[in-house]
Amino acid sequence: MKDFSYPVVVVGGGPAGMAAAISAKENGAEKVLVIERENRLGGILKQCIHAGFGLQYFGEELSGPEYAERFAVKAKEAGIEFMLDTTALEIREQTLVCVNTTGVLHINFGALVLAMGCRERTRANLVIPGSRAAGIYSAGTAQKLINIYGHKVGKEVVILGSGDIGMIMARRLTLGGAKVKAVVEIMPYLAGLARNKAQCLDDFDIPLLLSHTVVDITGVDRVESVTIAPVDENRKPIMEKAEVIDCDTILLSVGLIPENELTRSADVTLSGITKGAVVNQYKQTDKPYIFACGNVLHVNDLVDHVSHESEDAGKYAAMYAAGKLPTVDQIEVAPGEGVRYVCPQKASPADMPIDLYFRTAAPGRNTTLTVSDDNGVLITKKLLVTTPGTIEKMTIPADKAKNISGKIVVTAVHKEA
Amino acid sequence: MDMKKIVICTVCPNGCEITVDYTTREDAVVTGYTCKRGIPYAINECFEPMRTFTSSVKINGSDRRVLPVKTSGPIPKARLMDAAEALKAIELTVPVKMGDVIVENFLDTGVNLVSAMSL
Ligand SMILES: Cc1cc2nc3c(=O)[nH]c(=O)nc-3n(C[C@H](O)[C@H](O)[C@H](O)COP(=O)(O)OP(=O)(O)OC[C@H]3O[C@@H](n4cnc5c(N)ncnc54)[C@H](O)[C@@H]3O)c2cc1C
Ligand code: SF4
Repeated sequence: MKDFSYPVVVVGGGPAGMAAAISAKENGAEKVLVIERENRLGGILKQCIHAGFGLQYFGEELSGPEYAERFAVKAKEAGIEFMLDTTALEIREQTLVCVNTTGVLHINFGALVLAMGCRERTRANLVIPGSRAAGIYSAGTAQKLINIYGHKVGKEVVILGSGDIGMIMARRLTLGGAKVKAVVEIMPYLAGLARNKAQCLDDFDIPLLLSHTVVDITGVDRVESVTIAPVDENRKPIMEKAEVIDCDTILLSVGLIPENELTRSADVTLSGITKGAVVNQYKQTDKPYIFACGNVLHVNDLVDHVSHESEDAGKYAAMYAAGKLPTVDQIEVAPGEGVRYVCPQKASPADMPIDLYFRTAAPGRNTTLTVSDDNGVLITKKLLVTTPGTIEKMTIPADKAKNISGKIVVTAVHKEA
Repeated sequence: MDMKKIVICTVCPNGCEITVDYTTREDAVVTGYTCKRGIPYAINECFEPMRTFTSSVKINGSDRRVLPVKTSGPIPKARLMDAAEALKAIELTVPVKMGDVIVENFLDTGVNLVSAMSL
């Protein structure tokens, strides 16, 4: 067994982990180590070969691998140390237990940043009726098979769920010569970003069936057809209107869940809504030496946000390790009317801006977003359109962040549905 | 005006819904954008929509079987299927660097096909 010691250790070499590591180093951590279980840095971006990354962060449109490579180059230049092909297994107080081909490693840290990303919900997380034939993939698995291993997954495809990865795969499969017959979404609105509907579905005339669900899948060895039906207001299928679509492949694009097994080993409090850790504005969990960022904290739709958030996590982890992070009383940050969740869930009064990331509960137009505390309204913002598929960000400026008190509540009120 | 088109702007992740009323490029009336960058995008969408093309080509000598590639700038949307077809004939071997030009003036679009990863 080997023992190591670092002021800041990061678990996960995806965009979140790399940004956190670079920022920790820039903010004074002398040595920073990143643990990554795969053989290459970049996380999920290695398989996201489409463009659309970096519009905010770099001001240009990059593909996933390019976005990741820019950070990897920067991280190496900054002198970050990496252990690839190494999996973090358990957190025991301020020691991280890892394993790789050399054996078990014990890594002591001043502060730990969790950046393990998320994984896809699978069929087991959903209730999908019908046979268990081959040809059913999660959208992310199909993405990996096609974009890393060059496989073909099918000729006639139906996609269940209108998440971003599903829509992106609809375009990818179409350009690869397959026929995508429909994207089926049970909710009356799109789960992913409007831009992906425009570029991935509308560009190729792929039908989007909102308020529809799957009622059957047939096929013995391989999928042969899927039966879909519209749903009523209670999301119950209207069987009289069911329709059979022939296909050999079904992709499930039904959302992501933070990968928090490791977090649980440290007994960190998790949020029932985000499925990530409960944190304050420093991305600090209720174990003060553990920080979390990126998709392991809450599922982000834009990597640009992930990078910014993770830079904060890295910076505050470095400050904590150096004994410089102020620990003050924390107040609750809660979703109010029209808001599903807010991250962070806690905040301390501080002489610096506080970024709040949140999702609305339902889509709407002419929306007023408001952040208030017990003393009244702190900030407001008006948006023409909001959807739960898009993360909103509002920042409480430093002069107001100093004096927050009571409880912070974020609301979203739509003028039109 | 004769034509009306609703365009989802993809210049930034906001995805604004922009309405264009037009007969010709010159008389187009654009509404619904949040920032000015949406205006030329929305007008272009009515006349010659452009897209950055991303895909992959076969690569030998790596644990990755395909290399991500993209066009160095947008190409006409109508050429996307041709672009996908053209990649089938390409096979590369490591090493490649991010940004290496794989095909110059790809399909006569005036932009290059470049590598999107170092392998
Ligand atoms: C299938 C899929 C497709 C996606 N497509 C898009 C997209 O097209 N556009 C977009 O903007 N966003 C996409 N996302 C969201 C995307 O995850 C984020 O934009 C961004 O990549 C999140 O970065 P991250 O660093 O938090 O997580 P990740 O990129 O997932 O990185 C996490 C890293 O942690 C490593 N890791 C996990 N557990 C351990 C452990 N115990 N020990 C060591 N290492 C570990 C993983 O191997 C991985 O490298 C996608 C997500 C998924 C799951
Ligand atoms: S109009 Fe401006 S804000 Fe709206 S999507 Fe386009 S670039 Fe973004």
